[in-house]
Amino acid sequence: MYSELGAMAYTKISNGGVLMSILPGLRTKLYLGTDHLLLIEQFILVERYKRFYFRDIQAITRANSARWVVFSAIWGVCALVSALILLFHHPVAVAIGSIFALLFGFAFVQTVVQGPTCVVRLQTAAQSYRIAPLERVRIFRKGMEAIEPLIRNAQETSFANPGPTL
Amino acid sequence: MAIRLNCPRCSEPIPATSAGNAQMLRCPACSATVEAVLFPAMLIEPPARTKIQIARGSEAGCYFHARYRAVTPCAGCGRFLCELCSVNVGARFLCAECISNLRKQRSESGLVHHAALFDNTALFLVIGPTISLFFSIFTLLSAPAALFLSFYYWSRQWTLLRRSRVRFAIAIMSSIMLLLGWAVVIYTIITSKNNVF
Repeated sequence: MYSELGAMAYTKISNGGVLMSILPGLRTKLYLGTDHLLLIEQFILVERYKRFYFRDIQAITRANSARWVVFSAIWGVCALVSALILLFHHPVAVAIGSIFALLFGFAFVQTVVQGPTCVVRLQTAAQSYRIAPLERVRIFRKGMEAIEPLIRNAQETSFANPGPTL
Repeated sequence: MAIRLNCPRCSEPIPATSAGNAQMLRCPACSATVEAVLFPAMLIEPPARTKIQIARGSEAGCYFHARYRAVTPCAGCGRFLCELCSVNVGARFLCAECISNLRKQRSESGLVHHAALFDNTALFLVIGPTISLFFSIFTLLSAPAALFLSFYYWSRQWTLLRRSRVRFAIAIMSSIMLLLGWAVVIYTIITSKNNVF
């Protein structure tokens, strides 16, 4: 069912992480509306909006993934290699090595601090869709605390008084 | 009652029951431990397919399917619509054409499903060729284009959520700097040639 609101107030649940914020145009963000979840998928020049109405959501599933271990290892190795460049004692090598070591070091620390990753899917009667902004266990738990009561409340209300549907 | 649930990792079906709102399941295909939060909508049977009736005698027919009986007028254009053509939008019934027009006009944000990001376009037009070095000559064209986009869409860009104009500002400043740079390069070339002759 579509919402007829002209300008709806949205509450941010997740904006896809710090690393993705640095890259302009490759982000997915999740917002909470009054009767739906709004998933914003940004791909460089276009922003796509996907709305998941509370009354249509059947299940939200999550499984742990090893993505954070893989990325931590990649960033860690890159930071280490960049730090090794500093051993050349040449001013240019030191400058380049420091910049890259800092960049990769930041990415490594950020990945570790954010914690374990997971794969999250939202299921409706018509589709199963991956919700990338919730794919950190910590963010998933926090997000579900906000989302779950709203979905249950909406479904209890709508199934008690079924209205016209799309 | 058995319910249909798929593994978020491998998309294979997982056997689950309707007992309990939150369940820890194991995927038989990839052996992943799946945490599933189930909602009451899972247990609702899908609505039965609507029956389309043929218009008889003096009964009004659908604008798009003259053979089918009209059940409601479109709230936008007033055309008679059959069960197949009437789309419920909030408290109104609309035809597909009116929904398409509403999407184009962006008068109802609930119907809009995409928006063009002209600030990112302007930024990429400036930064893309500049950092590629090999294609930096193209900034002669892309910088004015980015400048035009930034000024034209400064207040015209539409997105569902409010978006900052920082990217536009960066694109404008970068374009001006690039154009000034090119002006200096061209001036230097011309003056050096004049000195030679």
